[in-house]
Amino acid sequence: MAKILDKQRYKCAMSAMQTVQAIDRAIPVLHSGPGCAQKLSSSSGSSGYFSPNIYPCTSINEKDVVFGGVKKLESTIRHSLEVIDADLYVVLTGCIPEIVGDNTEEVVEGFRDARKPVIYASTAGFKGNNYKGHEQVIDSIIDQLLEPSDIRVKGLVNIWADVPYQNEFWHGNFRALEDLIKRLGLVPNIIFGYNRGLSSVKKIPAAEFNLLISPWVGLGNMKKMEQKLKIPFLHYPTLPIGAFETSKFLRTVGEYAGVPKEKVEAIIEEQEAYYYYYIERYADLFLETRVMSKQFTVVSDAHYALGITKFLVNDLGLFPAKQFVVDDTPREYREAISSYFKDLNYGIEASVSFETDGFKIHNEIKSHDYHGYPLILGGYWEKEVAKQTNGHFLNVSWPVNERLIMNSFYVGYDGGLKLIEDIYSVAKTRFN
Amino acid sequence: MSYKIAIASSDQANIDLNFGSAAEFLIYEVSDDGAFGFLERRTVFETALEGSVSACPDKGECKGGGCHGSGPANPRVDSIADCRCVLSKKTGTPILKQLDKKAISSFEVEGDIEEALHKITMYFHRVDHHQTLRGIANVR
Repeated sequence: MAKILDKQRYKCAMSAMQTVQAIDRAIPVLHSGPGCAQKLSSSSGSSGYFSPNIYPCTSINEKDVVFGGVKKLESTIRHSLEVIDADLYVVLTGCIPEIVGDNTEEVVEGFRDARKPVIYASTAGFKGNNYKGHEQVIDSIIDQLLEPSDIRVKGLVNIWADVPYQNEFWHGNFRALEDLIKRLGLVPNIIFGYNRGLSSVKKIPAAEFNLLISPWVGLGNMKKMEQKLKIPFLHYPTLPIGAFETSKFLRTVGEYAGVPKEKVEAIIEEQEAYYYYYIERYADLFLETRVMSKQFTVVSDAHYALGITKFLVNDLGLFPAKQFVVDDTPREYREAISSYFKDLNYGIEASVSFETDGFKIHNEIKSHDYHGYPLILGGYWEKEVAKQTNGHFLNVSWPVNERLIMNSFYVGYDGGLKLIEDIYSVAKTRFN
Repeated sequence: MSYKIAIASSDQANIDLNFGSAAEFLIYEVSDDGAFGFLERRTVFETALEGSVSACPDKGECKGGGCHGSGPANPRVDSIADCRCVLSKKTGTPILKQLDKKAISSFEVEGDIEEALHKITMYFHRVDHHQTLRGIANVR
């Protein structure tokens, strides 16, 4: 039978309006049918100065299909500039105008001399999901807003990691990454989140290098910046969670940036002492929580599946069952990502499946012997299969329901402790 | 199957009237192969228009809940009930709702009738034959 309905793990490319919204005082201007912003209504933490319900939209209809919607687009952009006080206007195109052939580029070109920058990104839903849409928006910023810089600010590093709102810990994670980079004596530059905005975007070309912490999302952007802005990049595929990965992360970045080795080691020693102080305090918890799972499965995008798998094996000593990557990873990246999952301590290798079919994923989970209660970290959809398999469930990836994430994070030493807290808070609900 | 298109025009050459100010509609017939030809002029009877000066039938009962096109049937809408769509300079919201209920689509467009008909018939032809709409906005 044809596959018609499935558990939603991501949204269409046009949801990159969230990427725009994560840039302070930037606003998406939608060239789409009415209701395209509605898909964000279930997202958490998206109100504020601009919220999805007020995004200007051309609200194109049948008439614009037949006669073209460029006039409406022109007037919508013009009026947005007049009535909305924003720093950056990002026109996002939906499926309809891209199919019928509206020349958005030409219309946006007409606003080159507007008092505020207007750029556009092609985010038709048929081009891919919001991970791709996120990349499209960053590409547009590079192509249309940034110029190569003669100045290189010593130690300035652009940090790229979580996809805002899709990864619900994005805000806290960026702050934690910022903090780690600061400790190395470098100057972090992040465009998303509190108190950043267009001024941070403008700093991008002056950076010494780009730091990408993500298995695949953003790689294209890094290559584009390397080519256009002559900024080299360091690709660190694993989101550093907990002591093992974070120390490795600091060493890798430190070496790349030319930070003296003694300095890096001193930071790591200090941080690990602090981290293991807590691990030691709670050793009894780790030893005596007999109901705690032995094997785990992560159902998430590649970013979190990889970061969490490494943490749970390398730091917590759990054994990986099969891991599921549900972000529809482009084929060209899959082999490399699979190999990252094989690079675990104690010679352990995790097998990973790139699968978006929730039914198949749940069947595989149900048929696996976890040698105890399964530990399942995933989207809200996995709550059901965790219940059926009598497992421990933690909601870490989109969709996130029944839990609120504001500024908490899983990155770094503190982030690792936070993830331990969250996992054991679930395990401890069971009679030991 | 052939279908009809209604047009609000004062000079039989251009779409230049608002839906509500049209005293007559030009009816075009479109055949299976997409060819179109003028069929007739359809007058909206003056008597039928009495008492419907405003297109909005609201007597205060909609209470700001949005317009649902309730109220008495509009004689202009009735007069083109057999058409697939209507082309006019502008159509008010209450009328749009009434047209919706009769599955008549409304296109707000100005200018040359022939040109507009050419595009619309091509659009319907492609939709009816499950053909792609790719690039249709740029077809001259």
